[in-house]
Amino acid sequence: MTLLEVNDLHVTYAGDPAVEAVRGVSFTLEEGETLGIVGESGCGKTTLAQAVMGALPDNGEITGGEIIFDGQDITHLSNRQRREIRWERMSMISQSAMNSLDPVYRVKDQIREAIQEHRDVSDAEAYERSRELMELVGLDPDRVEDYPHQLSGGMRQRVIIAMSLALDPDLIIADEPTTALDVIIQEQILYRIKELQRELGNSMVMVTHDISVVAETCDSMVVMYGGELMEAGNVDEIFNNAHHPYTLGLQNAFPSVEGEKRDLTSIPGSPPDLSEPLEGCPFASRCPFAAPECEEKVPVREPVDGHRVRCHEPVPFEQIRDRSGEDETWLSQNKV
Amino acid sequence: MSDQNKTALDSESNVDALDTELSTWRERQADAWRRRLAFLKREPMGLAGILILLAIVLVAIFAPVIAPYEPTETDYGNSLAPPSAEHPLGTDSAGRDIFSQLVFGARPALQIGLLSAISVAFVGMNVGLVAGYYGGYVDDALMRLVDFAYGIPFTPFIIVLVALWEPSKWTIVGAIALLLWRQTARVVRSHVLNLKEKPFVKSARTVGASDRRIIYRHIAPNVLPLVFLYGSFAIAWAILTEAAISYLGFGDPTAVTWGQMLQSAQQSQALARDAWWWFTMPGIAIMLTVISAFLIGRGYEEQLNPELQEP
Amino acid sequence: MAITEQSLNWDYDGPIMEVAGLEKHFPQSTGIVHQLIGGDTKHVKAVDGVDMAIESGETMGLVGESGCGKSTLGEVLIGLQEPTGGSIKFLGTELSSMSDAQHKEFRRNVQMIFQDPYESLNPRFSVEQWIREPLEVHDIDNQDERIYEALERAELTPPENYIGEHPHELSGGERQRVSIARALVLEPKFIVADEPVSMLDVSVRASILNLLRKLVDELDMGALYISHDLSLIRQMCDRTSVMYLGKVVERGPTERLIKGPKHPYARALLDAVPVPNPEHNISEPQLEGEPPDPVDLPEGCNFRPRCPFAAEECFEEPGLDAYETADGEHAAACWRVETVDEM
Repeated sequence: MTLLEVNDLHVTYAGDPAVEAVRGVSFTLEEGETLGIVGESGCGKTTLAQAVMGALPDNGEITGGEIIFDGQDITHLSNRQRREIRWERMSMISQSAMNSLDPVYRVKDQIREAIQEHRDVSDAEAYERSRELMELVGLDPDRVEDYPHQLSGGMRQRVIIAMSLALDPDLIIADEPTTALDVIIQEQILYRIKELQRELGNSMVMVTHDISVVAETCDSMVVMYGGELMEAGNVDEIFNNAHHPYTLGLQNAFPSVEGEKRDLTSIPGSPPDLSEPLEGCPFASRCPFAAPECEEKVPVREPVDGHRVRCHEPVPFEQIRDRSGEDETWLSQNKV
Repeated sequence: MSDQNKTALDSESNVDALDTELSTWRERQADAWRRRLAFLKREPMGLAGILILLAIVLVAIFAPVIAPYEPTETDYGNSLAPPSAEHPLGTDSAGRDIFSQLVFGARPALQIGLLSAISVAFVGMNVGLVAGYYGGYVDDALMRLVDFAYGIPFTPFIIVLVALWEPSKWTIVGAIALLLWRQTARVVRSHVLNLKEKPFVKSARTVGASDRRIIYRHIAPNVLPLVFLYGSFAIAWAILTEAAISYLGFGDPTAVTWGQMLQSAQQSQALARDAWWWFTMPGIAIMLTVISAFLIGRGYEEQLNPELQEP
Repeated sequence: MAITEQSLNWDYDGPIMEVAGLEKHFPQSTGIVHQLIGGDTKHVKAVDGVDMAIESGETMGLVGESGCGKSTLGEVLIGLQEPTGGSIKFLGTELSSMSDAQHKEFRRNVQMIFQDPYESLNPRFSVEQWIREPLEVHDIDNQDERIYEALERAELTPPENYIGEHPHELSGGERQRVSIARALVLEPKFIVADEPVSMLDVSVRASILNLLRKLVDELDMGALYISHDLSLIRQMCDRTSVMYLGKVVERGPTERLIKGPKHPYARALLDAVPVPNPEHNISEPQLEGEPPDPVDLPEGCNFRPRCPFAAEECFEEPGLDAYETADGEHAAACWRVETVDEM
């Protein structure tokens, strides 16, 4: 069953100039599934997550498209209605959240508050629940008595995860949940998140710049660039059979400790200015395969080999795949 | 994009290049100022402050043109005259024109305010920079000095100092400089503690830059906005202090200042004699100047610390 | 440069940078009451007895979790922090016994590239001023030419497009190139790069890494590359040292270390690096918890309390010679390498 459906979503930040950060992105998320949204800084992935969560900054507004959650259109709900869904049915773990714990309250009080905001439970019940949650995320339950500064960064991030699970939501949106952490702590936390998901059966959206995190934790993925969807599909499919030059560029730029060492490629140039309207492919200016037709509107092609690609295919995909692994391919673009 | 400097001066034909370079430089400077002053657009209170202060500065500069009489010119036949066409704000007990006194009083007020601000900024910034940068014993010693300065009650200290020296505006500036640097020093120091850990300062140390260079070329420019902020508050404090000291009778009796006007009004029991124009007018002048300085400081502060704007 | 009597020994053919038993202990601030009753001052042992030698033209990787002391070690090597023990030799000359002239020469030849491209440039300096500063400090002539050359080396071309810019006008990748140009304008012989790409977008990382590697090669510098990410270290470094709680626990040629780590900590560290391969699902972490503060360290092996393979013999502290391959290239401070290999 489909839990979340996002159709042709547009999000704009008011200002001078206005910035259209998300430009027509569509995807679906099945119950119990994990979807990775991957892209570099400024690609709109965090805005997308915030729009789904109903937590856009004040100057951000959904300017088109729809978000359907569990059969209900939640695109234009009032703040109050959104608040009811937020935390209770969907919750968010963000990159900066571990610094958002209030330093003057004990952990137990912060978890209790999160619970009592939505549920009519006694202090004692909330306390019991907070200890349970601590255990769930792999922390010593007695640490609910601690203040945030007594916990390490990794522990604080676990507390945030505990809070996001407090009301047993159907959907968890994790926005770069481990970016600030060391690899060993990252592994512990990602593992815990996955285990909990297996136990509790909730769905998850994982927003990250790290394609290896997506590879290890997600079932399907969306690759974003310049506010638009470039390629989407099942993780195995995208990693083994990517079509889009940007996806391939990203994969070839990513180092690995596995297998034989290979040279990495880089993608010269910089992302498009999202305050300007863009007719064609946002990646065209950095794409070594770009052709005149790439200045025209790019349709999302209907599933090719089981996944969606947004590319005119100026040269056959087989060729793109072969040539994108070589650094010269990308550098030649820079010289033009 | 600016050209290479080294070739620019070689031949006559390069005068054009130099010209364009100069004009791009001017544009840059203008841009920088526009950015620096951009806060005024968002801070109408700050803009109001600047306008008031600007008006007072103009009045001070053109005092001889604006004032209808010599401020010290007496006319005993016309003492305590209420406002009229002849004396727009009336006269005092010696028949001196209140309006002219007010206009000339803007001069010492601004002199004292600006000089105090500059000396407070100078002392406070340097103490803060040195204490914060060197840390250790230097920091301890300087910060104890700051604590000591904090421990001294402001007005009594200035009265004692004015009594010891001679009553003049320089004494007041000196006294304020001796005390008010404490806050600037403390704030600058805490910022320096933060700044000196920044990678760009480490980078300067890595290339071998001297302490002096690091302090004045890398750190100081980044605390200047703060110094400016506390300087603008010092203007307000200095003007208030001068008024208070003069009112209490420790001022220079020959000077035409707003504080002296209040003092002589009090001496002559202007209130009991219903000469309201004598004491309200200098009061309003002091208030306006002080408020304008506070408004500028406040508006600037909100720009520096955006968090302050959040409810 | 004129060779004076006091000049460093440029004919020295040993390692460009060599440290032995290097220590950096920070006194931990304790309460005044504690001090009054005469309690001992405890020390945070950020760097605790490190031996390391880096040759010209070689990049040494230094990997470990945050708090393991790797950044402190880097700063001590370039003289940003004073060591509290041990020796640092640059071109064979002991740093602490250098004359003023030699020290100035050291300062000029040892540079650093920092992690955060947004904080490591002075926001008020233009690119030109920023790169000129080291030349001014060391009173070097032909400044304009050198600035152009450094910008070209850092692949900021054409230089005219960059010299007038201020940091806020540049992208993260460009800023990092400016940092590289500044570090290289003095033509240093040793360079420390502390996580220089961790804050950059994936698509520009490779170009910065490739640039650094090329420059180390061309300029025949020695380099220390600090990172918590073994996949980046792998792209950059000839040899790698793994650091845990102030000590080097394993050292070897990078490829050999990645294909066959020996110390249990290195094994866990490698296992924790996510791999861009969907067949590789996240596995159960080998290590629970986090490293303790390097204050009250356990007796024997530092890693013992967290080590899944700890045994009786681990109460005795292992040195890097506890395990060594026959060729002497790969070493680990662990008594139980063979036992664990068999498991």
